[in-house]
Amino acid sequence: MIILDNVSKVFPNRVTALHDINLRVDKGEFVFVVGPSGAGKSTLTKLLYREITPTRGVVMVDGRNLQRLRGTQVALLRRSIGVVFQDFRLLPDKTVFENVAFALEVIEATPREIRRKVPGVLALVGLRQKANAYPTQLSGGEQQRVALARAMVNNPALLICDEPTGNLDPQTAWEIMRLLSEINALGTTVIVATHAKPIVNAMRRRVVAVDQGKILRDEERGSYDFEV
Amino acid sequence: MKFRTWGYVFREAGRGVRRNRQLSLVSATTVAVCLVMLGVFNLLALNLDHLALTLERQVEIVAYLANSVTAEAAQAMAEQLAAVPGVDAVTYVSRDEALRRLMEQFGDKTELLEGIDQHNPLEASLEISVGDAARVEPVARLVAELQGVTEVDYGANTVAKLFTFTRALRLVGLALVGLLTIGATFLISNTIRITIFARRREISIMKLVGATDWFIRWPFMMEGIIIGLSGTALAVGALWFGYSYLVNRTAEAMPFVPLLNPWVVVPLTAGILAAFGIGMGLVGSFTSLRRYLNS
Repeated sequence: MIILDNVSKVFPNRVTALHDINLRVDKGEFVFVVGPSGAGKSTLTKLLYREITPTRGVVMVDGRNLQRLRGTQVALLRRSIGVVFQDFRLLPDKTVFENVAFALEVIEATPREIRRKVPGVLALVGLRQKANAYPTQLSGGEQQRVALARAMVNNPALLICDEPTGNLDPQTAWEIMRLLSEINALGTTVIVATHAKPIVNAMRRRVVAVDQGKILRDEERGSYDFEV
Repeated sequence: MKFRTWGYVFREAGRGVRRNRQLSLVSATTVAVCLVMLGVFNLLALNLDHLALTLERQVEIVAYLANSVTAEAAQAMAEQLAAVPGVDAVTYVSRDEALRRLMEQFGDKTELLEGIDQHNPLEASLEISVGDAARVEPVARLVAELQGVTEVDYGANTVAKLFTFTRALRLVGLALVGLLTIGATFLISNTIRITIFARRREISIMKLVGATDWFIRWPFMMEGIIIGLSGTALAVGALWFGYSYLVNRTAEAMPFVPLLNPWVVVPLTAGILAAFGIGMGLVGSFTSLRRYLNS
């Protein structure tokens, strides 16, 4: 699904965010990317949906070399990837339904497709009853569910979450993580960049620990810190 | 892009224009001012070309005579010239006759010429018709040599002077229109930038979920086109009324000035202006899109 081969990223201000990263994620995996702020977690996720391109090395997603993609190909890549952020990024003047439908409208889906797909994905995240509410009328957890629904409405093969629970209380964070697990169980590859230590430790999934632009550890059924 | 998408493009473009009502209006007005200038220069150039063509086709030479030449002497010259190969006819126009013609041209506004008959400032002349336009030049040269002829006037002669003037006019027009075009394009670009800014959240989400660049760009480009075309409509309206009025007034007051029919030239000019207007809209929105979208 994902192959990073000797990937380095140096930003124009000469900050080296990633240094010779090698990573392989198979289809259907669930991976936590952990590490302190500024470790390079966000940079790593941005490489995957081609928000940025690496300075050196190769990033392959779903068999595509991301550097080689041009214009429309980038758009097509993103249709097969769902992305969720800490700050939800919903449109405040659209309802829950419209926010999710928006993701389909802008890729020129038919109204029929929209009517068919949106209720289904809202049911998946448990927000069927709130379809006509506006984001401001929702709790943080609910807003993140809307964002998840939007990310999932195209049935992507890969879901990337950058600090999905950063703005949520522990209880709600757990709900979102459980939801991500369910989505993963349905076959979607899930990458979660986070520093929600208790959750990572409890879930016992694959953990890739990043610090100062390097991968320190990569463990199956790992935890946030080194086991003592 | 799918056909259905164009509905979305127009809807979003319209929303953008409404959101920046004032700035859109200012931009469209600037476009209009620019295009009116362009239109005025274009109409002027077209009419001057037309005038030049009319003059060039004239196969008449006018030889003005010194006041010392008597009517008998002039008649003799006329007969002599009529024998020159290529000359069809020669008419002697006395000073009195010239004055009468002038008064005729002024029609009911003869009060302007009151008192002029006491000191008739006009010269007598010989009007020489030449059958073949190619013979005009040699005949004119021959006439100029004659004793008592003060000046020879013929079409091609005036045309040369006219061309110099037209060329200068074109240069001035081009420079002025060029400057205004830059200004108007800049204003459109600013207006679009504000729309891009207002929609930056939506745009970032659109990119994230895989909207194509063209899908994202079109509403903004359409907004630029709408502004450009609004300016064009204003300009064409102003030119149509202005030019029709001018043509009507000229036909009344100076019927000898050959102005082109508004129905012929204004649509042609409108086409040029529309192309310019759309061009400004597109270039304006594209500069903003390039700077603020493709980051």
